[in-house]
Amino acid sequence: MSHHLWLSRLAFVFVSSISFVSVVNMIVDPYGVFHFVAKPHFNIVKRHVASDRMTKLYYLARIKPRALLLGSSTIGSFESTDLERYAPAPAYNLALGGMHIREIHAYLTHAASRYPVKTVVIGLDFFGFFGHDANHELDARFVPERLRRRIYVEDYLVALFPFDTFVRAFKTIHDNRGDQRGFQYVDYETGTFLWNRANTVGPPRHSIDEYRMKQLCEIYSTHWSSRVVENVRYVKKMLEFAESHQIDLRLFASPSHLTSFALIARMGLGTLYARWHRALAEVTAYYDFGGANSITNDAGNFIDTLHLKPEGGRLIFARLFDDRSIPVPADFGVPITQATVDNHLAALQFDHRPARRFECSSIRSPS
Amino acid sequence: MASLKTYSVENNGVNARRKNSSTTPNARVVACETLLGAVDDTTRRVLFEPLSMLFNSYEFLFLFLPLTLGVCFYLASAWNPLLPRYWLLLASLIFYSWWNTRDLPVLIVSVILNYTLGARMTRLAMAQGSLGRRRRLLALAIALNLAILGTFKYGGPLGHGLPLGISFFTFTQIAFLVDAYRGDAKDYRFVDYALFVTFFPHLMAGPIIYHKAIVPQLEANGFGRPSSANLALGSFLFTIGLFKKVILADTLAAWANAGFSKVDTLNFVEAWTTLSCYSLQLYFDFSGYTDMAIAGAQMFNVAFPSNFHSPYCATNIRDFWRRWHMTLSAFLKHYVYIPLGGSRNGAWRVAAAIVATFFLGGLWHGAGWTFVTWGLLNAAAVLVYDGWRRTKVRMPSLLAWSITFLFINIAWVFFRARSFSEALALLRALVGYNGIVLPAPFARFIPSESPSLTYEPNVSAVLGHIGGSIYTFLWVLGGLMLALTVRDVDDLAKRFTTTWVSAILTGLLAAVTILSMTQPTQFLYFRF
Repeated sequence: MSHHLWLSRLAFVFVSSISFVSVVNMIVDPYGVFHFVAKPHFNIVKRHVASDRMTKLYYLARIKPRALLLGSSTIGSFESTDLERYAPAPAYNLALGGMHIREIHAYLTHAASRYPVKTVVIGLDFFGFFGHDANHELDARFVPERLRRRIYVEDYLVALFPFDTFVRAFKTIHDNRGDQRGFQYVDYETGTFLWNRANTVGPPRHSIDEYRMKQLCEIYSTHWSSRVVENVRYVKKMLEFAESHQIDLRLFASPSHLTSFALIARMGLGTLYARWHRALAEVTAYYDFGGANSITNDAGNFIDTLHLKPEGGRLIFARLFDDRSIPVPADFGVPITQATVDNHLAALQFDHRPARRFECSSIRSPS
Repeated sequence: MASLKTYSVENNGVNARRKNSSTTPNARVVACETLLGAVDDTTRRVLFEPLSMLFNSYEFLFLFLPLTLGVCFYLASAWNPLLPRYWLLLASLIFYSWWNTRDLPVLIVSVILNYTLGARMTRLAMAQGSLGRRRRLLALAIALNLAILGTFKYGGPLGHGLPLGISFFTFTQIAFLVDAYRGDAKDYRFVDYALFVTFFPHLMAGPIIYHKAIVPQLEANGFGRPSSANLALGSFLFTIGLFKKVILADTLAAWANAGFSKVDTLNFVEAWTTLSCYSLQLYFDFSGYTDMAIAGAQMFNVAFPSNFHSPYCATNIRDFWRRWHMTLSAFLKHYVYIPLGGSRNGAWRVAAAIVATFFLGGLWHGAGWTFVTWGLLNAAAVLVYDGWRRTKVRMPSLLAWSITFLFINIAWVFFRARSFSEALALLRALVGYNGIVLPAPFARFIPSESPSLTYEPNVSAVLGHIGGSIYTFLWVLGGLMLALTVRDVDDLAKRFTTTWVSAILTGLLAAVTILSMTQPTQFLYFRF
């Protein structure tokens, strides 16, 4: 065979292979970017967790929500339909894994500038106020350009070409045939993070708990804690934005299981935690669902140490929107204002003992 | 107590890292850190800021290379033969400064300075001019080169990071200067000299090339003209190199970096897995880059020297250095080892030359005691091997290979570690200082009451600190098999045939590799 002919055949095989993969990726659309084909039992359900920052944005554009839930995965399990009891439908859970307060602000302004958002509920996490480090693996996932540009070409390239996407396409088809085996996934239609109950391949609960504690250890020990109070400015910005756009904005400090709350004391961050609450109280009134209370004391109320079950979200909405028809434990959700914050902090029991079995240096990834 | 019922879960952020679906600069930084581990801010700036174009990037593969080739072919066919050289010089400078023009002045000043001094020495030599004057010029030129290299590489001046490829283009030009002093260089055109130094396939990480071998090829009639034979061979070799980098090196890098970032906690199996992954990563990364460099030059009808010859097949340390980074070895041999009296003036003088050569070789890679130690370890190994050779006792090949391979791997610990303490921590883990953890089925064969030998239910738990699994072992075994059995570029080029099967396999390999290239990662040797 001549070299010329060999080159032609090489080019043919190469272009055909790339085209085949791209066409499959575009049709199955595992990241929900194109939405050309949406067939039940084929590709209608997209559940890839790691693509949440990309995929939720494209679902947002299709759903055009009127109510939003924003925050880290600590509110990821909350069901948007529960929020629709108190806010105009459709509601969307825009929680993203490890969402930083800067990112919450960016997503709020993005969504509310493009869609008819009237109600926003934001869960605030202490760890979400630590210094945002673009070089840290968690924070590096936030891509401001994705929100600024009308068309973010990189997303289309990622959705079209990579071999990973091709593999994900087959997993998507598999998921849609009812054989979902991942132990965690996202229902992108509502934005809710889900746990696959039937799953038998996922790590055991204690292993996930340890992993969550490790994530907190990393954030508490590697991020700039000096930025915590300074970053409250994003809350102030969001309040101003909400006022100017006539948005009903409700804020609360997210609950987590007592062990992860105890880690704050264990790592010597109790004073900073108090300063964070005081800084928040200076700019707005909010509810605190954290600390020790009848919900956070019981590990059974949590999927793992950081993540409350959806019923907890229902209780939080009832408290935020003053729904007396749902019985909420009296100690779950303390209203905080500048006048009450000191009393509230004085009543918090900073006990590091529940976290004493966790050693930040030796915790492994779940196996 | 209040009780809740159903289940849900969160986004697992850390697992998203390797499968990150974004190709943003931030993601690129993370990907670079995946390759080399966490580093301080200055090093991060030097290593991770996207300063130059990468062979394993879409912009190189689908924009730069086709455009450069196309314009070069057109100019070579239709116009003055000098035009393709000017075009390639311009393209090479664009390649070098694609993301950041910061380092470009250093490169340009270096080329002009060396050309001026080299040409002056060449003219003096041609006119039988004073040897003393040439010697003074050579001393001045080498001093200036080492001053520039030393200032940027070892001095860290004015917040300016290490200019990319500075070690390579400095050594390339020092060889030219020495030859000019000896009267072995010609009076080249500036464009030919500048293109020889900056030609983009070798500019960033070699191979180190010689003016006598390259400039005549640039001046030849066929340079830059389309040749389907060279394009076919270039495409084949480039695909092999890209596969080594993207599929093999980058996959192994994830485990190697995880291990090197936690050396204090690694168990015995994790430590050996980390080291094996790094050894293979380094080979596939650097030889993959070299394959792509050779292939890129081939497409312009320029033959580069090969840099690797199945180095992990070496059965003694001298054999290894004849197979690993061959152009650097040759440079050090010709311009350091032999001038210092190697092979000529008695055992002590030879030993001193060996130590000095490896000391400089270590220092060339970086201004750290870990690099110096790595160099001196290799010097010691060469001296031990020379001593053994004098006994005339023949060692079985398998034993010789095992000892050599083990030594090379242990020496890499110092090459990769960021500090002595890190290197020593890994060495401790390699001898089981942090305990030995085995999968539970082993308990049947090796029962233990000792706290230093424990069992975990599966391989994933055994390799927990490096995020490994049974697949890690398969990648290491597969990588080792490839490193030991698949030939390097010279042999591959000889065996290359234009058949349907080779076209299909190369096309599929290229497609799979390019489709796996979601995040371009820097090459390891860009740091030197």
